[in-house]
Amino acid sequence: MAEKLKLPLVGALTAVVSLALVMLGNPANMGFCIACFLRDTAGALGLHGAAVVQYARPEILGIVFGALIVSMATKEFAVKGGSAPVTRFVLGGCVMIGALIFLGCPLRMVLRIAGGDLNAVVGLLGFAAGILCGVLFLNKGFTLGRSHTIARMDGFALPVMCLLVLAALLFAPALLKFSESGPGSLHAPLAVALVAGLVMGAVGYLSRLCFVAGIRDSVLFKNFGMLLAFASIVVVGIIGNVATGRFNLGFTGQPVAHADSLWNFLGLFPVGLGSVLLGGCPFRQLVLAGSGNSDSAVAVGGMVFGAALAHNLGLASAAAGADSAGGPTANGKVAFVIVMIILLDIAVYNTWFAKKAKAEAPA
Amino acid sequence: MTALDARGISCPGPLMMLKKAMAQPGDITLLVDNPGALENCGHYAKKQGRITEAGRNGNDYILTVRGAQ
Repeated sequence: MAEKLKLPLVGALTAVVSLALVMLGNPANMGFCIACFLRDTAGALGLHGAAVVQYARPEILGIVFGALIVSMATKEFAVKGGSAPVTRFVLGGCVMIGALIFLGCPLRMVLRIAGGDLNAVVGLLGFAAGILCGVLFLNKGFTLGRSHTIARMDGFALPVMCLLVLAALLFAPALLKFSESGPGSLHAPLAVALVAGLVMGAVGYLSRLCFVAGIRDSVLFKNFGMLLAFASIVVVGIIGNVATGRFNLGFTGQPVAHADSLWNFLGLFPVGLGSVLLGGCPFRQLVLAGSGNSDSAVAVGGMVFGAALAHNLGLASAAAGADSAGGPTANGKVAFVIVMIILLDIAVYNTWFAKKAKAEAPA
Repeated sequence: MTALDARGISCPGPLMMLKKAMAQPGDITLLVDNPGALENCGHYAKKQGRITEAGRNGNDYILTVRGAQ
């Protein structure tokens, strides 16, 4: 019974923490968004020049620290890596580009649904389609190869980088960029965001919360536990949004979103496919990275790189505003095609062509 | 007795290996290198009505799944 309650409770907590962050200053329907927040943090470091999305999000730092602390406390912190790291870097970049076409990671997709944003329901269809495509490759034997135990210092590299960003936020903010308008200017107080991240990092580590696992494991193993967590986020999120006057059902007028249904669907397709190939959604990659998984840390690096590319090359969609419907850019649509070619290439190669080389390699 | 080594394999690889092996008769031992995979696989085997034992094996984790009764 306790086992069955665990994931729905985690979902409820996610919804409550997310709503609290929005009430305290985060953009609407964006208590958490791993894609947006990695992008904002990349902006704060000057990796891209989009002035409206530059802010070092303490939530990201907190998630990494939370996973690190809990995994060390349970003596489960283990540093592993070496499973096609550059491929994973590229996969992370592809996932990020897709997410920024939709304007959200899978976690934000669920939070947007809880806010009444029907564009996110369309996105969910694309996400599910991408996952099913990934499952096809998994069933045919897709693998990026084994990871191995590697030098322990490697597992601390990302947490230390996060600590440096936190130190800059606290003691040398002049080093960072801070948006004066737009989504990057909307944020909960630093301490609150950091604690929220710590909680989600800890809970995410203990529960293995992952937004591809829901659909993927339902199809592969008839395991519906993770789907219950999502349902719980949506139900509790709706209740909270309605109670605080933040529920707005429809396609138009949605915060930090656009209503181009085709591209909401297509944007999350590579996110679903890429996340299955990586072995977890962006939130899960961040949690795994915090608990010593070097391959996931590389994937996170790829996401940060993808975010910088997306804004420097004009790949990210524009949010709808008072005077514009927003939507994908021409460069973004071209990027989608390139991302899909790359993803399918990685999937096909590592399903049918890589086995011989791996079988002959020393164990 | 089927011995599976799923160490270092990304999710959901270990469970896919276990599911495939469970289609054959006999006991299975599954070696994984993280507690998440151990829990996931143990939970799946129990749901299929199998008796399981889980434990550590050095730095790794081992799951024994008894053959179908």
